[in-house]
Amino acid sequence: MIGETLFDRVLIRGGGALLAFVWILPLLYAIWAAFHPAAFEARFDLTAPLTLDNFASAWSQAPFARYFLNTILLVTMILVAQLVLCTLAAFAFARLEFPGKTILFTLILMQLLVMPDILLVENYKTMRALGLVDTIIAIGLPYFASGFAIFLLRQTFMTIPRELDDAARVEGCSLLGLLWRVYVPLGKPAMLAFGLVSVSHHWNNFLWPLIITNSVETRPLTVGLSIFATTDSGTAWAVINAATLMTSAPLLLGFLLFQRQFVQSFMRAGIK
Amino acid sequence: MQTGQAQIQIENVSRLFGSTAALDDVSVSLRKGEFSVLLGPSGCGKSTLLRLIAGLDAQTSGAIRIGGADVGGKAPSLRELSMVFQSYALFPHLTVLENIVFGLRVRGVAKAERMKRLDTVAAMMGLSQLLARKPSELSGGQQQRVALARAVISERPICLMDEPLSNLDAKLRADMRVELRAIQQALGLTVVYVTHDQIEAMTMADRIIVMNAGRIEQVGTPEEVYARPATVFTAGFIGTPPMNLFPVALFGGRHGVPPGTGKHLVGLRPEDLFLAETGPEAELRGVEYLGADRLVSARLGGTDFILRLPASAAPPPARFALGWAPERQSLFDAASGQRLAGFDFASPSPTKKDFTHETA
Repeated sequence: MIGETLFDRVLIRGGGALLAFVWILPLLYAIWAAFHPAAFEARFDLTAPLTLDNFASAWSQAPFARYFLNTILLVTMILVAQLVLCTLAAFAFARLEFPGKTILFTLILMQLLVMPDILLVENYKTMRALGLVDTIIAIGLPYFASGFAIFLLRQTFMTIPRELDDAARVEGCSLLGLLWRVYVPLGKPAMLAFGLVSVSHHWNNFLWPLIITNSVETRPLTVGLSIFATTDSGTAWAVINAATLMTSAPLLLGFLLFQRQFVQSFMRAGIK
Repeated sequence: MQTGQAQIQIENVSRLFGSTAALDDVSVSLRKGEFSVLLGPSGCGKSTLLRLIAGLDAQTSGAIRIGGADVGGKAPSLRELSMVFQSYALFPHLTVLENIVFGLRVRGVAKAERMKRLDTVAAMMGLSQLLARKPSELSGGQQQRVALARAVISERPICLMDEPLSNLDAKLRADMRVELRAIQQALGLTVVYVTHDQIEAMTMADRIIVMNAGRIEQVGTPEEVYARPATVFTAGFIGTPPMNLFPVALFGGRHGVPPGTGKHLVGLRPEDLFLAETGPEAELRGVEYLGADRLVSARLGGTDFILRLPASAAPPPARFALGWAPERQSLFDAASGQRLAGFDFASPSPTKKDFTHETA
C-alpha cells in the first residue's frame, strides 16, 4: 500500500479488529453458555464454575448421534455426486465440441442466478412424484448437478495447456483416461475448494431438509437442532448452546486443522 | 538402418480453417530412418502438417499413409508414433519417472518391462539422478530431455517434433542439435521435425521440406536447398544473408546467362561474388566486419546486394568490378518464381547426393 500513515494503520487494524469481534461474538457467547451452569446464561463472571453437564443433557435429550450420521451421509453423498457429475460436465464444456454447447452452458450459468428457495415447492412436487419424500436422497438430489461446480471446473480445465492434452492422446489415453490422468489431478485445487463450499453449505442447509423430512431417521443436524431448540428445551439456553456447538464443531475443527490447505486451494482456484 | 523406403506419405492434403487454407494440396513422402525437417516462416502450415500426421487434427481432403496404410480417422495412439512438443508438455503433477513411463502405463506395459526400459532411457538421457523430481524443479534443458525420453521409451519408429529447441538458450540449443541427431541416428528413428530456424534444419536434416503459405516450395538435402533453391522464396529464405537476386539485364550475355529483358532473375550467394578485373561496375554502400568475413553491401544498377569477402582481403574500393562463379548461379523465372533448371551448370556435389537417394 502506498503512503500508509500511522493513522491509516490504526483505522484499518482497528476496523478489522472490530469486525472480527462482532463476527465472533455469538460464537463466544455460545461457548460461554455451553460450558457454564444455566445460572450463568446471562451473567458474566470469570469465577463461574465450568461444567460439561449441558453437553451430556443435550446428547441424551435428542437423537443427535442419528442426526450426525444423517448429515454425514448427506454431505458425503452430495459431494461425491457433485464431483462426479460436474467433472464430467465441465470436461465436456471445456474440451469437447457438440451442437448446442453455448446454449447449454448459458442455461447452466442462468441456473446460478436462480435462488434455490424459489424452487422449494416444485422440488417437493418432484420428490413426491418420485416417491422419495422423507428420505436422505431427497434432501440431496436437487443439488447433485451444481451449476457453480460446472462453471468453476470448466474454467479450471480450460486453463490446462492444450499440449498436455495432445501429449496424453499421442501416448494412448482414451477420453476418460485423459480426464482421469490429466484433468482431474490438475483440477484438484479447484475441486478441494468447491468441496469445502459444498460441505459447509449442505452441513448448514436448513429450509429444504426441514420441508422434505419428517422423521428421526432422515433428519439432518440442522433440522434436529431446531426441533430440539423449539419444543423440547424451551429457553434452556445453556443446553441449546451446547447442542449448537456440538453440531457445528466438526466443521469448525475441520477448517482449523486444514486451514492452510483450504486457503491455498481457494487462491489457486481463484475464489477469494 | 534401412533408409529410402517411404514411411510417411502425404497425398494431396489440404486443411481449411474456415475459408483460409493452412495447407493447400500438399504432397510429399518422408523416408524411413531419415531426419526430415519441415522448414518455413510462421504460419506456413508446417505445424498444421505435423498435427495432421500425428492425428491430432484431421485434414479437409487428401490422404496420409504411414507405413503404406491410410491412417485417416485413426486415433493418434494407433499411428505408432511419439511426439515432442514445443512446451515439452510434461505433466506437472507427475514426477520425472512417472512422466517418462506415462505412455507405457496407459498402454498397460508390465511393470518389470517399464522399469527395464526406463533404466536404459534414463541413463541414455542423463536423467537417472532426477527421476524423483517434479518438472517444475528442472531446468529448461532437463525438461527437454524428459520430453525426449518420453518419446524414446515408447520405442515407436516415428518421432514427431514441434520446434522442440525453441525455448532453450543458444548454447544449449547447439548442444541439443548434436545430441538429437545422434539419438536419431543411433535408434534409426524416422523424425519429422518442425522448425523456423534454418540452422537447425541445415545441421540436422537429411532432407528439408521448405514450406511457404501452405505449400511446399522445395524438398531436398540441405546442400540442394542451399545451392540450388527451387524457387525465389527458398532462395530468399535460406542463408544468412540470403541469396542475392539480380534482374538478368544486369548480367545478360555473360557466362551462359541468357540475354534477357528482365523476365528472369539471377540468384547468387554472397560468397559466390568477388572483386574482378572486369565486369559490371558496382557501387560500395557499406561494410560489416564479422571476424572471419566481411559482409559488403553494394549496389548494382539499382539492385542492392551483399557479398561476403574474407576478412583478410582489403575492403573494396568505392566502385569495383563484380565477378561471380557462373557454375553457382541460379536462374529464376521472375513471374512464377520457379528455378529454370535448364540453365544449371553441371555441378557435381549436390546432384550426386540426390542420385544416391533415388537409387537407394
